[in-house]
Parts: sequence; structure tokens; C-alpha cells
Amino acid sequence: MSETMQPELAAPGNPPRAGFLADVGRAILAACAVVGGMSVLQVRILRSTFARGAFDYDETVRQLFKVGVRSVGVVVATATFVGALMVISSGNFVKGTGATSIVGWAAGTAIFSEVGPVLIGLMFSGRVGANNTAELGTMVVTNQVDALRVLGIDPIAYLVVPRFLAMIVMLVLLTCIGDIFALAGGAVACSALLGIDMRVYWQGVLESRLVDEFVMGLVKAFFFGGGIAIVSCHWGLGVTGGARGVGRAVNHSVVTAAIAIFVVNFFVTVLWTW
Amino acid sequence: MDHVAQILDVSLTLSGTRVLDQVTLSLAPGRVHALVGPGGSGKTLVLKLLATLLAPNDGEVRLFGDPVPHDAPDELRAVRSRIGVQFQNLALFDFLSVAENVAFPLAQDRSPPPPDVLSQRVAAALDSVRLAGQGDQPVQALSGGMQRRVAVARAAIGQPDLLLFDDPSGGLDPVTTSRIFQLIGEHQRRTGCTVVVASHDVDRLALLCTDFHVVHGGSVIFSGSLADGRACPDPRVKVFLDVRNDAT
Amino acid sequence: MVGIPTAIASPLFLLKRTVRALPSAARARRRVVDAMFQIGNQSVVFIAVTLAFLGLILVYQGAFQAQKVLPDLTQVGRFFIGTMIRTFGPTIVALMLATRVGAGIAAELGSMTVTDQIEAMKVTNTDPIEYLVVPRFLATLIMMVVLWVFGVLVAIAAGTLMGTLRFDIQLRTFLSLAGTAPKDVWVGVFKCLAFGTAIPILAADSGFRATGGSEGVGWATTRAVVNASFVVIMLDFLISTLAYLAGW
Repeated sequence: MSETMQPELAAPGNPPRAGFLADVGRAILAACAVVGGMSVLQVRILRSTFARGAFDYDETVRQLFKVGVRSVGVVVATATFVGALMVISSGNFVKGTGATSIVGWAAGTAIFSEVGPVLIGLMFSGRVGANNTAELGTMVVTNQVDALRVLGIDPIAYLVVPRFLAMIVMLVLLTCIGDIFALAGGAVACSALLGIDMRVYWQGVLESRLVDEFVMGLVKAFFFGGGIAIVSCHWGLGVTGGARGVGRAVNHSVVTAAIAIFVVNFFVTVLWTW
Repeated sequence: MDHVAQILDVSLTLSGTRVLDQVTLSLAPGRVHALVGPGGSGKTLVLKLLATLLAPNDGEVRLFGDPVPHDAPDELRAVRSRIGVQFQNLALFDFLSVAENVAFPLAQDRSPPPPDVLSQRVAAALDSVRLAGQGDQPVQALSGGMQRRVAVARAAIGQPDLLLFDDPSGGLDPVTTSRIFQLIGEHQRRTGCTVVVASHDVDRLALLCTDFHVVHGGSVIFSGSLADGRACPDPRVKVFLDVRNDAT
Repeated sequence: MVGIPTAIASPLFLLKRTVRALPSAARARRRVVDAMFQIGNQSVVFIAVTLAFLGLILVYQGAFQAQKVLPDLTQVGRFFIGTMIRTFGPTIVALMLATRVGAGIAAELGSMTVTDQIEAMKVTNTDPIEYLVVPRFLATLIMMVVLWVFGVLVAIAAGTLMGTLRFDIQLRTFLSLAGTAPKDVWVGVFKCLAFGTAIPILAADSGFRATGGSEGVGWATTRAVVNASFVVIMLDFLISTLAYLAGW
């Protein structure tokens, strides 16, 4: 009758204290289990997509639509504010040095190469990744995934691969859109708050020739999208223990995705500029 | 005071749907009332009205002789301290142990009893539901039947005048169900409080309850003894209370 | 509140009730400290990892871009430290806190809501706002400031490694507070207080509004992360604008 309780990382309440080393060991083991589980999932996704070509086409189209519609509003709104924020943050420096022509270059570089992809990725993870974990988790706790298996349908091909493809495609597209809105937000902040003519700003953006940065941002978005998909599916399919379990899985999903975003972001930048 | 609780002509609309329609119900004190009806008929909502957790759009709920003082926090406090509830899905606090769950209604009082009295009363309450010695367990570690007994103990520990049970046998095997009903009966005889049990297990309710109220489509369509109900000309009442006769 | 969407009115209302219930925290210091401990425990590794990588990348990009314009890297360190304290530190720590702690609060309160634990509290005369929200609110508010300091220190440590090892900037040149005025620290503190207020309130509100089983809890958790992250960015924009206009 009684369910076995999963030992959990940083569980609330008062677990028996077994000393610092034991805690560290447990944390490392748990982290290894997460990374290992996600690697296995990644291999299964790739095999299902490329080796066997086995994925549900209709479900992929449905997911593309759902993912895009769900996140475009929040991504656009966030990006606009972030662009404005970047410009305002440079305000004191610009005011101090009088280097007005630098604003466009600074905002463009920051948005295209780092701030844009990372913040859009974080919002995407919160909106789409978390939602995906909740959805898959609910399917698991209500035995819908088992039902698929009984019907002979592979959950990876039917559920995971379409989400994986949809998130990659959509995050790359959303990053393009978001970059533009962020630049526009910056332009408005530039003229309204810093009192610099918008033309100076746009000129700065265009003359800096930021194609390289822009492309790097999209490469990041590609990896973020895949990463968020794997992370969110991993936690969603691993849910145990009812409503509380689903909430917890969503929480773990967004946390893991955020770590993945910052780590991947760093390595892409470093490798790109090597 | 003729009635412990009265629901007078109450209607309730939740997110655009009329879920209760002119419900009228009177509960005589010191008796065990059965609230029966098909799933989704509004039993839980009637219990939540009695528990002061819902305020009606129309009509009036009177508890212990007075209308429920939804706008006066202190008076509402006084009313609530005389009510005990066992929720449909138990609502045990999953961050507390068994004993802490049972102690909760007393410990959260404005003037809680001293610790030794509190632990004595918790021990007695656990003993009365045959869970002596299980107090330190986390609630999730217990089986479904044991959790239900914890919920009964928590509802009853404050010696409330009105005790509400929402589907106390849900998801339980027949043996455990009998035991829960037996515990409810024991407690009622010991304290003389008024009990309301919402369930569709008419067979077992017949052993425990004196008064039957049939809820159907958001209204109470019958109140009276089981025998009267079985003789009632309204087919909806008769069919529901006669389930046993159909089965045998 | 006619015309104001629930998504805005409901957290504001919760904020009002939480502030009004703040004095009750004096009786519940244990719970505040417990919640602080839990928040710290949950997020210290998470914030260390993310902020370390943030520090690495900021210095890397800063130095990389500066090299293109002029081969003078002496300014990188002071700029980096100044923007960490004033801009990136509060924002990113708050976004991480919204992700870890905000989602955690929403998941916890959401599952309590859908299993009737909140109603069970109300009937036992326990105000869920006093009992559940106030300790989490205070703890998140305090921990936001603490983790900001911690996160900025971690980022500076990581950034220093990058600056000294990869770009051969002298340690003493790099670790310079010349780019940091007291007003930058104050703007940072102010942002932390605003974010620390918004995150737990939005998360708790989202949890309380959960309906219908595990799917509802999942939704509530998602909503908490998105709403809290978005409000953090918006407040950040607002405060930065005001600070700039005030000449800070």
C-alpha cells in the first residue's frame, strides 16, 4: 500500500544528517544520474529521428504550432524590456563619456551574442519547457504513457521527438524575432530616455556588422532548444507521486535547463571565438 | 436550539454554473445524518457550506442558531472551532508527521494547551482510531486506510459539536470501511455530537445513520428516515436508497 | 476590481494581505528561519554554478570586445564588477530564484491547494497566509539579498580567474572598485528588495490558484516561473529607468 519514497536532492523537512561528505556524495551521484539519464534520452531521440526516421509527423506539426503560439508573447515582451534595459544600463557611461555612437554597437553586440539568446532561452524554458514537463508528467501519473506502450506506440517517437524538433525550430525562430524586438526596445529607450537620436543608434547597430554575433546567437538557440527539450522530457517522463511529484518535476526541469543554458552558452561563445 | 445547522434556500453558482439550487436542509442535534446521492450531485458542496468554506450566493446557512458570520473574523473563528471536517481527499498535511497532523487543530488555537496536555490528547486520539504508537511516522508512509483514520482523528480531536465526513469509505476495502464507520459511531456515542456523513454506501450508512438526506442535481430532494425514503414515491429517492434490495 | 485582469489583481491582493499579516511572523520565527534555510540549501549550488558561468562569459566577452576597439584591458575588471553589482547580479540571481524558489513555492502550495490542505487549515482556524505565505515571503526577501551578495562574489571570483588567466590582466588591476560607486550598491539592494517581494508573492498566488489535480499543479508551477521572471525583468527596467533619471 505504502509508496516507497524517493530519496531526493535537497528535500524539504529534516532528513537524517549524515555529514557533509555524505551530502556532497549524494549530490554528485544525483547529478550523475540526471546527466546520464538525459544522455540516454538524447541517444534514443537521435536514433529514433535519424536512424529509423520514426517520429510522428502530425504530432510534430501540432507541437510546432503549440510551442510557437504559447511562447511568442512572453518572449517578445521580455526581449523588448531587456533591450531597453541594456541601453539604460549603458546610460551612465554614455552620459559620462559622451560616446553616443557606441550605444548601437554595444546594445547590438550584447543582444545578439549573449543577452538575447540567454534570456529568451530562460523564458522559453519557463514557458515551454516547464509546460512540457507538466504535460508529460501528468500523462505519466495518469498512466497515459503506459497506455501508449500497451498499444505498441513508442513514447519516444510519438511524444519526445516531435517536442524535441519543435523546440529547436521554434527557439531559433523566436530568437530571431526576439533579437529584433530587443533592438527596437533599445531604440525606444535610447531616444526617449538617453535623448540620443534613434538614427544614431540604428546606424551604430548596422555599421558594426554584427552578422557573426547574430549567427552565433542562433547557434546558441539551436543548442538551447535541444537542451530544454531533453531536460524537460527527462523530468516529465520520470515523474512519480501524484500532484506533488508533477510540481517537483517542473521545478527540477527549469532548474536543470537554466544550468544547461549558462554552461552551453559559455562553451559556444568560447569555441566560436577560438 | 432545534437545529445544529440549517441550510435555507441556498443557491450557489461557481464559475458560471449553478451547482446548488435552492437547497434546504436541517440537521437535528445529536444524530448521525447521512448525505447520499449520486456522484457530482453536490454532496461535497453541501458539506463545504456547513464547514463555512463556501458562502452562498442566495439564501442562508445557519450554524448553532446564528447565520454564518463570514464578515466577522473573530466570530467565524468561534464557529469554526466547533466544527471538524474530514475532507474527501483527506487533506492531511504532507509536511507534518501523523501526530503533528492530529495535533494541528489544537496547536493552532489562539491559546493552545500546554505541550504535555497536547501530547496526551493526541495519544488518546490516535489510540481511539487504533493508531497508537504511529505518531512519529510521516503521513505518506501510511496505507490508505490508516491515513483515513488519521484524518478522522484530526477532525475529532477538538471535540467539535458538528463533525463532517466526506466519503469516509472512498477507495477502501469493505473491512476497513466497516472499521472507519465503527470509529465514527463510537466517537458520536461518546461525545453526543452531530455527525454528517456524505457517502453513497447506503448499506453501511443504514447501520450508522438515523437521518437520511438525498441530494440530487444540486438540490436536497428528501429528508427523513431510511424506511420513509424507501417508501417515498419519488423514484429518484427510492431507487437510490433501495440499492441493496436490487442487489439481493 | 472590475476590469483589472485576475493575473494582476490577485497577486496585488495577496501582497496586501501578506503585508497585513506580517506582524504574525514574530510568533513564527522558527518557520521563517526554517524557510530561509531551505531556500539557501535549495539554491546555493544552483546560483553558484549559473553565476560562475555568467562571470566567466561576461569577462570573456568584455575583454574580447575591448581588444577589438583598443588593446587596453585595464578597464575590464572595474566595469565588470560595477555591472555585476548593479545590473547583472540582481537580475540573474532573481531569475534563478524565480526558477528554483518561486517554482518550489508554487509546486508546494499548488499541491496543497488541490488536495484541500488549504481548506483544512481554514477550518482549523489557521490563516494560510499567516502560516504558509508570511514565512516564505520574509525568507525569500532576506535570502534574495544574501544570495545576491553570494552570487556577485562567485561571479567576481570566476570572472577574475578568466581575466587573469586567459587575458593576463593583473589581479590588482582587475579587482578594482573604481567602477563601483555606493549608489550602484544601493540600486542593487533596492532591486533585490523589489524582486524578493515579487517572487514569493507571484509564486504563492499562482499556487493558490491551482485547480484540478496534477495537471493544475504543473500549470501553477509553470505560471509561477514565467510570471515571476517576467515581472523581475519589468521591475528591473522600471527601477533602472528611475535610477537613471534620478541621476544615480
